[in-house]
Amino acid sequence: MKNIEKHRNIGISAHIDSGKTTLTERILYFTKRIHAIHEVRGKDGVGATMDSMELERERGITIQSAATFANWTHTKSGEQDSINIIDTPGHVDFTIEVERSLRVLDGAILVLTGVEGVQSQSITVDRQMKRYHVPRVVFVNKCDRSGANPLRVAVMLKEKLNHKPCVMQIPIGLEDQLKGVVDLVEMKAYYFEGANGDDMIEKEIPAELVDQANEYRTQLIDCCADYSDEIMEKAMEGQYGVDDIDKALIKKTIREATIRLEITPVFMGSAHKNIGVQKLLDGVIDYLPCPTDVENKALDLDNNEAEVILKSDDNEPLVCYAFKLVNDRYGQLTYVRVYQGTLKKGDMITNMATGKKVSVGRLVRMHADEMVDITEAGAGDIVALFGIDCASGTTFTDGKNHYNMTSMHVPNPVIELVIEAKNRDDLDNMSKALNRFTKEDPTFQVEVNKESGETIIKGMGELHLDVYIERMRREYKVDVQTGAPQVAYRETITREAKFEYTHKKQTGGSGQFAKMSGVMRPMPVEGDSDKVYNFVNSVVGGRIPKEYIPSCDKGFQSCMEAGSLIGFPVVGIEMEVQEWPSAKLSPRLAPRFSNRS
Amino acid sequence: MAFREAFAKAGAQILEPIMKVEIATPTEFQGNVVGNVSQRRGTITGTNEELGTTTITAEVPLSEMFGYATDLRSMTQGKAEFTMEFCKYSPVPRNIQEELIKKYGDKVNQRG
Ligand SMILES: Nc1nc2c(ncn2[C@@H]2O[C@H](COP(=O)(O)OP(=O)(O)OP(=O)(O)O)[C@@H](O)[C@H]2O)c(=O)[nH]1
Ligand SMILES: [Mg+2]
Repeated sequence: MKNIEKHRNIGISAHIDSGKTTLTERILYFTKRIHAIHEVRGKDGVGATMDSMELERERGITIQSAATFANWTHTKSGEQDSINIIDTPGHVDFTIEVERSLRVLDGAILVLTGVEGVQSQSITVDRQMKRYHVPRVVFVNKCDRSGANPLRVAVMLKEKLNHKPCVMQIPIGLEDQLKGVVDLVEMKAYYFEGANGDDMIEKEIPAELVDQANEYRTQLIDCCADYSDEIMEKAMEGQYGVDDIDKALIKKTIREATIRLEITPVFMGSAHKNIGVQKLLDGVIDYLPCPTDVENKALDLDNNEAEVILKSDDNEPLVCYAFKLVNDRYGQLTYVRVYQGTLKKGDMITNMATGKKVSVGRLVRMHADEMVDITEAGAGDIVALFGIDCASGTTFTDGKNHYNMTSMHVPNPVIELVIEAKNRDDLDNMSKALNRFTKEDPTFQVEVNKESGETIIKGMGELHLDVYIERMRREYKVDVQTGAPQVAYRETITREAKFEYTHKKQTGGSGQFAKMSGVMRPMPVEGDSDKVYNFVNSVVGGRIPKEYIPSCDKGFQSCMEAGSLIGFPVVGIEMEVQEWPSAKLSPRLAPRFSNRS
Repeated sequence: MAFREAFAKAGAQILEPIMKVEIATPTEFQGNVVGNVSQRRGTITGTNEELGTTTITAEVPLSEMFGYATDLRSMTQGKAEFTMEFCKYSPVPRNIQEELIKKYGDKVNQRG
């Protein structure tokens, strides 16, 4: 990228229905990516540009995240900036989308509403952002609604999320009288006029708001004083005025504290009424990190997975990370974030999971569901590749380094559903659909039961599975019948038991069998761990041919797939095989047993 | 086969996913919400009251959470919210284990 300091990779996360998609739509409009505004569930029936799936537009909710590139000219400095925006879904069942987005973002806008403030989902999202060390700014949306109180929301931010809010603005008017915002750094009033609030007009602070503006300006400076000695001195001398302290110093101080996740700048307005969005964009540039401001680590597969720090530099060897797969009308699209080096059209890149080399065919930048072809993408950029086959969460390098980005947290599915195509002719399409969904979404899994032949889909919740059934119907024209949802049970044991086992060799002549005995015992399983089985070989003598042992292990493992209680996977078992007869039996008996076939 | 026989002798047990559920409700409905969680075999692990909103955390078997969104809405005039995430696997109570085994047996028999 030409100027990495001027680039931002940001996400927009929040509680369901708080206006993320509407806000993103406005951002696209003001950055001139789109030339008309279409509302979520709008009367024009077009739907928001970001909600490009038919289902999303109809339900008015966002299911899939989309990455979008936009250029922004800072309204104060006039500098050219670029922003990659990931619109993320708000519903818990799509948490994986949020997690995958957060993994590749450098900063985020947390949208809260002026009426409800911090809601339960905001708490979850906030926790996720903390887990990935994502600095954030808050946008208090819907200040045009009755009962809105953005300054109260800033207090909630402290009480409910334990943030240190730094109020950057106060509203001019509220509810249906909302006109604009007072910027507490500039100490000026901003109004949004014109058909879609296109014209941002700077004026003096209205007389009735001067006292309140001064009060909040004081708070802002006091907040900065905690992070800057220079500002601290000014504050101690009572010099809070707009001409007393250098604006650049205030911005730098807030920016640094925000990036360290110590404070959260608070902006406000109404996406729907086009108020405050341009100021928020300036804020994103002023206070959220650029790719070089944050540290990204990879694991070196050649060196015992030791952590290595990646350099956001176009000239370093390539390391990029596929965080999302989408299969739409354009074909297979793979979204990647370039962490280090340059990704060029025509390059050969190596899949770190499989070791396979693939060539970069088409490289595009995404604008919701439209795209622009590009020839290269530098460190810090988020772009999409065509025709690259991989699972989401795969690292690619130039092949010289064997680095893997730390794996994302992927929860195991907990609910499942038997599905059946209503029409036999649709079976082909159904398996095509399922194939694609499982590639896109690691929390969605499909299994065909060996005994019953039933197709079972597994996921994170009822809505999660609902959405895929709906998509099968719409996108693949497959009507499916579903059984009752069932939770993902497991089977285990509570005490030791002995077993005896005659192992027959399939191809051998007479005498090609071995008798074994052994013990099955409970084994603790940690949390969500996949280590649910252990095999111990205590056979010492030569009576059992060695090659029998692995197939014995395999035989047990296949038994673990479906328990005998209710046919669910068996977990937490250790199998120890010993020689037959076991030491406790009289050796005299041995020949008798081994003679029987 | 050896595995199945041993499994039957080893005190086989069914485990179910338990969810960590977080419910934020206006405090006036706290009693109803807590009572309902208990009916769903849930255990309350914490409550916290702040500004008229009570946040209840509980561990509830996922199998008891079907239709919870609707129930919670009607219990609280739509004013409460909840989120849940996977927490752990725990043994199901004996009577439920027997029920599940019987249902599975019926299904297998039906198939012939
Ligand atoms: N009054 C008012 N309504 C708004 C504002 N912003 C969004 N809305 C409305 O709130 C509803 C939800 O907005 P969305 O943008 O779809 O919300 P979202 O956060 O993307 O929702 P999910 O993707 O489903 O989580 C829509 O009906 C919007 O028109 C606002 O500033 N003021
Ligand atoms: Mg949305």
